[in-house]
Amino acid sequence: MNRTSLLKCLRIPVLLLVAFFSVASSSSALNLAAVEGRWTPPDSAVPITMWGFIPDPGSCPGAPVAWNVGPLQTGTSGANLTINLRNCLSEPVSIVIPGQNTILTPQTITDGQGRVRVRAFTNEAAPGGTASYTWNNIKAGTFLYQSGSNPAKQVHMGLYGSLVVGKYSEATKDVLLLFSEIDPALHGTPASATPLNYKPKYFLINGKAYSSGQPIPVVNGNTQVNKNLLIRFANAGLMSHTPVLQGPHMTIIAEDGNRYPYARKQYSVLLAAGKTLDAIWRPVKSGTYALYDRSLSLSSNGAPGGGMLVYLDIKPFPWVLFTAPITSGGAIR
Amino acid sequence: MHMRVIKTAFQVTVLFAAFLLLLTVNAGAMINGITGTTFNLTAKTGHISTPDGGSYLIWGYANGTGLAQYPGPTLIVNQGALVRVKLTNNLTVAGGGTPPNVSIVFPGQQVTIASADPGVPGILTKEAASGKTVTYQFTATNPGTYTYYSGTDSALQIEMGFMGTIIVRPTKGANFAYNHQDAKFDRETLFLLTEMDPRIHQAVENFGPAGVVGTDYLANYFPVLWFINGRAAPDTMAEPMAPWLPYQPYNCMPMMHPGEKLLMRVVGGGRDLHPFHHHGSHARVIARDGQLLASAPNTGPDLSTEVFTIQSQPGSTIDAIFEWTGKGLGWDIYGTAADGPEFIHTCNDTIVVDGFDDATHEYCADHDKPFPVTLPTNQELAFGGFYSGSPFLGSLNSLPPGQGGLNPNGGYTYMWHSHTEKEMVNYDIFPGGMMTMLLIEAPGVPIN
Amino acid sequence: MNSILKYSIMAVSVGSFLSMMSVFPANAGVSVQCPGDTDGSATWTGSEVQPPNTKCMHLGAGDGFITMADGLSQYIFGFSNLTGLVTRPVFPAPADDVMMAGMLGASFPAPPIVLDEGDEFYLTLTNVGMAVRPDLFDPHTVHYHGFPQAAPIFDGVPDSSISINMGSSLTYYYKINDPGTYMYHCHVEAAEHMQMGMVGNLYVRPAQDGTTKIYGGKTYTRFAYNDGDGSTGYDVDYPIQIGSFDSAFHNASEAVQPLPFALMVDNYPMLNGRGYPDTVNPASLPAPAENGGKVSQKESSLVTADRGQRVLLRISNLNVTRFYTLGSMGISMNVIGKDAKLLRGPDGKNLYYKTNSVTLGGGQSVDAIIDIPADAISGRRYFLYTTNLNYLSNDTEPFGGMMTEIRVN
Repeated sequence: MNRTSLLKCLRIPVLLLVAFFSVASSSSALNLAAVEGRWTPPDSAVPITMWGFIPDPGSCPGAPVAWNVGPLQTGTSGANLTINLRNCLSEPVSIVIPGQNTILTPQTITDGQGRVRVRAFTNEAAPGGTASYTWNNIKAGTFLYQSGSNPAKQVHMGLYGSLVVGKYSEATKDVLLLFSEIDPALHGTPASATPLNYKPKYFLINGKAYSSGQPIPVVNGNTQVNKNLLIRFANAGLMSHTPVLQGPHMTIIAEDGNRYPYARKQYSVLLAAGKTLDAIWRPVKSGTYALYDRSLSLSSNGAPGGGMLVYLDIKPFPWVLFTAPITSGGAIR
Repeated sequence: MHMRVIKTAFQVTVLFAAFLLLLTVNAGAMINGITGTTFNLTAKTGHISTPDGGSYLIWGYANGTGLAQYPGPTLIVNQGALVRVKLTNNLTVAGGGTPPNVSIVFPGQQVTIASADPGVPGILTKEAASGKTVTYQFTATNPGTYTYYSGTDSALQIEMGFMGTIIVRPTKGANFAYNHQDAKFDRETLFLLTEMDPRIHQAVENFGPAGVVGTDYLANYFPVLWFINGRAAPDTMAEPMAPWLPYQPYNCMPMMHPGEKLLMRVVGGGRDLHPFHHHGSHARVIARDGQLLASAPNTGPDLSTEVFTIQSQPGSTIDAIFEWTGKGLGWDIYGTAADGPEFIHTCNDTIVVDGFDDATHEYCADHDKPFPVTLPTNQELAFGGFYSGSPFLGSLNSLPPGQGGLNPNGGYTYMWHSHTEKEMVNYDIFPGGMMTMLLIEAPGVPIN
Repeated sequence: MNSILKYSIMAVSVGSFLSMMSVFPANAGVSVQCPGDTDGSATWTGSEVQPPNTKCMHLGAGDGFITMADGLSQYIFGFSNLTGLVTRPVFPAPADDVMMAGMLGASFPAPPIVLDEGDEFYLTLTNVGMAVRPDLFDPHTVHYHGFPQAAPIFDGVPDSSISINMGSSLTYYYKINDPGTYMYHCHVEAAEHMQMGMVGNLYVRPAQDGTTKIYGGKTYTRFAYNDGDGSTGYDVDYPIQIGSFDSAFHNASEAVQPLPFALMVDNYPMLNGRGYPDTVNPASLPAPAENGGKVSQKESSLVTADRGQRVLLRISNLNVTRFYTLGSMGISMNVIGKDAKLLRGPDGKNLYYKTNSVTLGGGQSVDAIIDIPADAISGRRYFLYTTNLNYLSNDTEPFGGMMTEIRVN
């Protein structure tokens, strides 16, 4: 399987592809490219222009790729993490990981009144160029990585993905649920989101917006009854959401990669914009469990019944022996 | 000079007329709801009223053959009970189309479907088709405050009114929120917080649920109405079961005496976050989503903390205990001899030595300390309807004609409201919306 | 409305306002109550003796203007700091000075109130009227938001007690027992008066201040709370108040147009009354022309610290339309307090937690400590910014909004 052919049919395989890359790259040097993509909404054949991160193909793709959330990255707790970025977009791009402490090299502009403004939180890859980022001694947990350049524009355009560092001893299996939003009106000609113009109409988990009448996405962590499952929540959207696991309580153990001193049992959790949360759930019955946004981002381009909804698949005893690598967490089948 | 003058006549503002009604009727310090183990709920349409004269179509759960309610009936059950909720779909929609399926989900409960009324499959649970019934059952294993709401087309159906509260009373007793001494309360009040975008209700009223298809109302949600227990202020303070609010039976009128513990059950019934600010003092948040904030079983709420604004999140519940004594104000809240002979009183902290009067809960260290400032003359002041004319608890003083009058016992009143202040309005009238008043009556003034 | 027209309206309105003063009864007027202070300045000068543990302050409530980061002028209601102005004897002269100082003197945010545990605080509020809106006769109040065990008479809720009319003063009294991060605002027609700008920082330093405690190998004498172990010790502290304006609402107010409270949508996100990059200007912003030279935006949000220092952020939110999430970029925060309470359980369990963002609705506060790395070189920057990324603009102007910087000295 060569990379070019993979990229041409990238829509679903991105996460798998990353799994492939990340598992191989415990040396913690990751290569990404920021590219233009297309996302086809579930209710429409008209694709929406997106920007996204993909595994660096070595050169810029000749045509827009099928967009998905950025590839799941993995890192090792305490190690140094390096990300090399190739910029295939027409404006400067950078990468930040809000939950990891680091040294930033902000990029500035001077406005008409002589006031210096930061336009990028850190150093950038120029259009057609590359940049490199290193985080030393990274901490364990679930994180977002996203563009640090004009974030009011580039993040909602799709430049985000998840980073998983280390494991929790309590749970050997995990699923990752990356929430995000798309406002098509700002994507025709990519534009900054402002307080009044940002009105998202598609609500996604792991790059998919459920649309009424279609099969409901199932997130499969190869999870089994009476085994702890780690649910990793991340919100790359600009609005807060409130995931509810229908029925059971979860134990919320960490946010932004920081363990709480005492865990708390909740069936719902506030997932603020830019926030990551880790929860442990020990299912006692097999089946599919709904997980959805109680902030009711449950519509899809105006159609009721849709949006941020997935099923978590819990397998019965006897347990299935197949175990996937951690990096498959979050894959939607 | 302060005098205990009972005003014989006062002008009541239309805005707060409801409050007086309340004081003449049973105030209901316990939460209104329906009790038992089997509940027959019926999905129906109804129309709610807002204080500014608005009327809006709702879809609500009715108690049996009763009217649709906004919010649905508060289901009050005992810990350990096997609870059955039979939901019958009697919904009708405009235009003669097929009414949508309806359902209920019960976050935090392990629900099974009764084989007698299996319903039809839905996305989150089994549903009742038009004219049919589905029966949910669960064992109320854990005490606490829970919510229930539609699991069908939830963005639309919750907005239309399909939501309510479940209270599971612990085995330890009805005046406990949970099975621990630190979860004991003297009084309790429900605060189910919702908002409403009338565009959605008007579209459904005119065209049925199809009316919202093709709009961006559900995504670009823009509420302009806000409610506590289904009412916008000042209706929050009117009597429960008021005949003029047939679809909104529940009020929200917290009342207490100094030193008592008021349990606040705060439920996020809508889809927005609300910062619920309770004037007067902090409240200790002891539970969330029906789980005591405990580091281990039997520790009690040892992870609880005190807040002055409860962050209510959609679909989640908060239990908090509010207390007020006036401790440490630095002046005597019952006045001193210098204010007049009728203010002479004692502070006896002898039986339970805790710094407070054994009967009145007056903070004895502040006893007989004078009021610290001189208040401006009446001409320089504007007076609130709940102002008694006196800074002292249980005391009344004369006010200019037409002022005050809503606080005949001279209680202390505190505004409890969404601190997203645009939510405590009825369109352009402030205050209204997601607001009520806490009334702390002087010791000896009966409540109920 | 151009500024020349504004000026002429202002001149007319000030004139009509002053002439209106004569309708007040003779016993009404500016009256500052402050123990030991005889000239009504809310300060102790000359032979005046400050009683122990006593603080006084004199606030004016009125209107004014501020300049948004994109240059837009905004009409505001707000508080001005009149402390130090002699007000006694009353009419005619000194009180007139107070009125003139207060009129169009509103600051945004309101003058910070900084108190110490154990203080007896006498806060006089004088309603100086709305110079630009002479048609308004709004009374005003101070609501000390979060004050524990409050009594209605000093709680500032007009429905529950009293509020002060134009041209007169009301003195509030607070016995300060509980340290922490609070806030204050006017509670009259609060959706309107707070949207219009009558909000400010208020915090109380603990009795533990001045004692010495060693925490993490460093010695501290200043603390967020009475922690007993120095774990809330800090080197520098900054109040950061989240806020936002709906410019259409402000424009409607200035133009005497209807004010649909329920339709508010804020388009100017701010910290301490400014949008980025004005947040990082350490100085006061220039006085708007419409204010007649009165500086109205005095509070910077620029956080500076030496390497190795602990920075206490006293974060509060007093916008009236929505929740905001405030994130830290490049460095994490240690949340040690919420709503003016140390984050500890009733039996002392330590509930501090680390995070990279906090989400606050109006009327909530968070105390967070940031540890500047010991090896941070001078000039290094971190950011406080809203993760609601569409609020990183001043209306439509990009690279602005709810953001400030943490700079290593």
